[in-house]
Amino acid sequence: MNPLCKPWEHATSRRQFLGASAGALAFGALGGLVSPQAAEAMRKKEKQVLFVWLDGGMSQLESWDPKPNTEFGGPFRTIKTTVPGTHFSELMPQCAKQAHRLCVVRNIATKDNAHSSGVARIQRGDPKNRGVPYPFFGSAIAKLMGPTSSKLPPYVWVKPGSGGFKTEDAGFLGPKYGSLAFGDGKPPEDLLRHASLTADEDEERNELREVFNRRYAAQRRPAYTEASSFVFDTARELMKREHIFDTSKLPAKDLDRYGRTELGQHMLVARNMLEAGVRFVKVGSYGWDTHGDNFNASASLVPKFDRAFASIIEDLAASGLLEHTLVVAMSEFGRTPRINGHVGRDHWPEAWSIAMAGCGLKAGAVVGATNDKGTDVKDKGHDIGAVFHTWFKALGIDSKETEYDNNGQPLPLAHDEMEAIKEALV
Amino acid sequence: MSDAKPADKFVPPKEFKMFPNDRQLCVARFSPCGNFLAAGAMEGTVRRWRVVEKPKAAVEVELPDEPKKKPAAKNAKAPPESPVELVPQPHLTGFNGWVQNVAFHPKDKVLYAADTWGRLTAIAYEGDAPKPRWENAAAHDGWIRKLAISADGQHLATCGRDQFVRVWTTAGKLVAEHRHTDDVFAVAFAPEGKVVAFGDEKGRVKTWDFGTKQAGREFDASALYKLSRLQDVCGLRTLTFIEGGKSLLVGGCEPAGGGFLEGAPMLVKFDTATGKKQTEWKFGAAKDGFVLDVAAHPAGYLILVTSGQPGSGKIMFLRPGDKEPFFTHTSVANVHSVTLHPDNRRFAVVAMNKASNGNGRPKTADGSYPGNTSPVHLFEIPVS
Repeated sequence: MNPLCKPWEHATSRRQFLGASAGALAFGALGGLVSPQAAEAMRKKEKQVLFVWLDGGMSQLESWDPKPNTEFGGPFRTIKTTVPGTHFSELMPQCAKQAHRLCVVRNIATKDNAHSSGVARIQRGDPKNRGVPYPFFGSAIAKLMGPTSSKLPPYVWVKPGSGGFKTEDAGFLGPKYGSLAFGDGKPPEDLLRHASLTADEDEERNELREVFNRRYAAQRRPAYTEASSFVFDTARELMKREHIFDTSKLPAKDLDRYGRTELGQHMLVARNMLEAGVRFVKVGSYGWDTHGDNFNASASLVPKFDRAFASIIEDLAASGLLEHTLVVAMSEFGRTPRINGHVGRDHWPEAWSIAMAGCGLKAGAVVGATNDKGTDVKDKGHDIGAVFHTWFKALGIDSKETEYDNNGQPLPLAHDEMEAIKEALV
Repeated sequence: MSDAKPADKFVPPKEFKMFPNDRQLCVARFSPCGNFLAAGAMEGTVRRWRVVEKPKAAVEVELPDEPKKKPAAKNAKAPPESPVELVPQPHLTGFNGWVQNVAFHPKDKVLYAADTWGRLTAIAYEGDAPKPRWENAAAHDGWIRKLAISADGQHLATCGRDQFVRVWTTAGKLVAEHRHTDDVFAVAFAPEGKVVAFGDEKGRVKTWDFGTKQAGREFDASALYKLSRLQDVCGLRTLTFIEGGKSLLVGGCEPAGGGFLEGAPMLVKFDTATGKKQTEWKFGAAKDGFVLDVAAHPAGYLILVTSGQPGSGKIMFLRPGDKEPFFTHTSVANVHSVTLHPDNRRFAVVAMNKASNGNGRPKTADGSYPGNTSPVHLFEIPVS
């Protein structure tokens, strides 16, 4: 175990999960917004989010915004996409076939070129400093929209390595809006019914629990007891959906399409979660910080992303889920046009790309551009604050009118001097 | 390479001169006649220089394209004159992506070049605007990782990201091809010219008789491979037959992880007949990266060049029977290629400018965004 990590980050038992979620509901759900009615309206919209985080920084030049045959263009060719006139790197043949469903913003221009500060700044939307840490996008959605009617946890994170309840994502919203992380795509320990317990026995235990619940509820305020019951039901919903985590029983064709890789399998878990009704699913992938041997690294990494991402876009479109699911794929920055002595690319926040798809977004759009060498955005670029406004808008949340209520302190949802990217929105 | 032992008293090589470039280079090779140096660039060109000997008596020889020198300041110590100059010739164009490989025909005045978009070209390399003798724009589907020419000048071998190994006549006719299971990073001819060795991203090395199309011996160089999270990290870069083909050297990096790509330069020597590993060398720390190129000197030693984290680069001199290099030169950064002049008294390396890395936009006075460049360093090997 990494001595720098806290033990509770490495395993989440059902007890821990229930405790955390109960806290979330008991303290939560409708508080913290200026207009509870607006919050309730948002909550009823069954919109969902898939947020793919490529930690370390995917090269825009080896993916969404290639510059072939230029000084910094690298060794790869480009390929045509299903959007006439738009080309991607040859490393993304599957995404090229889904381009008509994507919305690629090529003129992202952010400020931070360090991982240590950049990861958090980007995922929090880098608002003006209000003296409090802002929530990650997933925590914000968990707060603003809550669980869907599926009653599954509102913000989950499928990631390599350890799992647990990641409270730091939530910022000033409080730890209850953190992410429930499934390390290596596996469920928390003890979540599923123990093998020695039959379904009938489990049901009997549940009936007994309900008796105790009613007795408990008679002595307490309904808000707390309803929350507790809801959380338990949420856990039971997860228990019923054991298949979410088990990709081994999926057709071989699916496993091959997504790629028999860590990212491919995690994307399949994400698909299962979205289909089951999880509000916000984040899929994390590590190892994209290609300071050395960037081009061979990209030749290995990008096609694995390409297969997994294109497959889930295709499947969400086929099932109709894409119509009400916002899909985002991004990193904390792009990579330098300049190729260093280790044939790598370094950190580059100045002109990079984000790929999106789904609800509220223009399908087949390519927004903005970089110059011929990819060293600058053309015209004005978009900072992450504008991207946050765009995402909120795509989900039907008016980020200019809605505010957080931080113990009486009204706070904007996103950078209040920035606007949504109109060209990306329907 | 002969079996002759290098002199016991090795006099360290001396750098003649550094020749700057305006672009990054992948590889450089001297022509067999010794009068040309060709280099593949990361911009779809082949750079050429004429190798010019300065008359010993001359103090100043004005060369074409050489900028006028500023008068030396009073009391300034004049740098030693290089007895050799590299005089730039017009670039060879018509390539795409990077030209990662160049190879000269051992007898004819023909240069072969392969780019990362799959083009293989043969060019008569003398003259101001030489035209291709032949070219194949689709020799491979994409990145040609390595190009080799047989010692007798009869065949070329190429390998690529498309998982193919192909053998061609030097007139451009496809002789044989082998479909492998993974990205093929290196290929080399055995000295007799009938067999090639190739190595893939997983560190699997095989020989293949392209006449009979029979697979031969397998060599386990999997130490040069690591699955790091999602990334297949390939450390294999070079294959070199030595000792008359009795041994095969596999060079590259023992990867510690992907991303930054840290790993120690590594060289593994195999017995060609049995496939048995004979010697394994690791040179330096994880920051030191890859053995990227090998030149075999007739005196019985190898010149190896390495490149790792920006600024890390070595030129090492190693006898195949020794445990470690008998001389290491460290004053150049990120050395990507080495070529031995046919007189065996000189060699050139492709390196990298200092301070080649950095996050974000470098602060320049004029607001420009300069790319990195690959100077060519020319060395003399003094007579011991």
